[in-house]
Amino acid sequence: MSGAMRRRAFLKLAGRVVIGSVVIYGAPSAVMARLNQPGEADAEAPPANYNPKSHEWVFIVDTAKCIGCGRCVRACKQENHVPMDPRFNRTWIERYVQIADSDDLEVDSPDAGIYGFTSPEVNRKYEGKEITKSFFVPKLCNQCEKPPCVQVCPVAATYKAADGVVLVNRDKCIGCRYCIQACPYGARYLDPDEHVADKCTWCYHRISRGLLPACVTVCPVGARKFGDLRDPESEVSKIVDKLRLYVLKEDLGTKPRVRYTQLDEGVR
Amino acid sequence: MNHLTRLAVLLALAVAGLLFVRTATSQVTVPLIGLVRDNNAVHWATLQPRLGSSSDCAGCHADVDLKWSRSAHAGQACESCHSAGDRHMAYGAILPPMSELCTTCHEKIIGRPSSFPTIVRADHYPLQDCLSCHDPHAPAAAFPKIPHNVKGREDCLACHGNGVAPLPPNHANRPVELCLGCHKPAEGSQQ
Repeated sequence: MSGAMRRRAFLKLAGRVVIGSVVIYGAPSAVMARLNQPGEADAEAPPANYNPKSHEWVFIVDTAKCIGCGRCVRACKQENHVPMDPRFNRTWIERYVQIADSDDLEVDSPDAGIYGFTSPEVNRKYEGKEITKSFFVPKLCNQCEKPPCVQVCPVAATYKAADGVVLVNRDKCIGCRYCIQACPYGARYLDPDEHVADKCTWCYHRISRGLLPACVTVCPVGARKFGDLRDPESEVSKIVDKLRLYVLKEDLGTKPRVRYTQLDEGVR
Repeated sequence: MNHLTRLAVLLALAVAGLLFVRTATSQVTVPLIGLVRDNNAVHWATLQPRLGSSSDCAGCHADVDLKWSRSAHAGQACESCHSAGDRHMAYGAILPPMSELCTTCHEKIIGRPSSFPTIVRADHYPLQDCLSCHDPHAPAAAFPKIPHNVKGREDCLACHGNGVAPLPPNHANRPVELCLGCHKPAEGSQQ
């Protein structure tokens, strides 16, 4: 009799523990899970019709056309709220100059090229020297098919979207700078205001609305071209069909989506 | 069966039940913790563009568009020189292009393709504003017809003292105010 009573008391206690545990552990996390679920995308939002799986974007740079005016750098900073500080850039322009009797190409990029290359201070170092070759190379994130920055991120804050664009989830990024170190092209920087990694998105908010990236829009000489390889009639598709295209640091195997026409072999 | 064994089985069932209920309700999954690459591309896609389309500009500025569309600058976006138009659209901010913007493209510098039209600013009327002779909205059409808002000989000499169209040698020491006696601006000699 007393054994049965003890058993009943034990079962009552066990039942309370079980139910209490469910309430304490289960319920709050269930509520949190509901709260954390991503909200439904606004059906009226402008990129509602955008399907990333049906695009394969490609960016083509013609170094023979670039005049180094810096319009692209300025437009990018305005469009994407990039700090005006020349240390932080999503795109920049480099100038390569070969001086006679020298094997190496000199490279300069004053203030990332945002004010152009016309100021006398910028050109003084080449005064009186014989220049055998000189050209500009616009640079930006290559949106690699095998991106090292995505591979090294310890919190999986950066990822490759279905259309190939590499993006950063700023809510998740902890600002550890691994990706900045890993990028062989120097295309990433740490946002000085929010301390998260930032990089070129190919103006994701523009291309998903059918606009061109800001740098492509403002380029006065057509040195930057952007389009969809899935559209055989697009200008970029025709260029890809016709011309020999180069990528930066091909031997690293990152498979960049930014292709260069007429790229000099000295460019790195 | 020993009653202790029965108790143990009951307890094991209760624990299993607890785990089941907890898994079913709490949804603590790997993505929730944040260790998979979840895609917030929608966030990036919903940002608002700041640069617009040049055809939006032409909607109001039809007079400029008419000149511009037949000029050597026809392929250019308005915002290339006037910068992002969102503030202009929002509250009418004026977007003046900086005067140095001409030379950021057209100065002859190392690296610029030789086929691109360039000048050496130091040799090309360095004291004159580019816009006093050139209309950037219609460079090809407007260049031959340079505006001549001149009054005295000094104004003429500002361009014709030396440079593209210099004075002939026998005009060197003519008295002041004499140019307009023989010449009409932009029409050459009237003798």
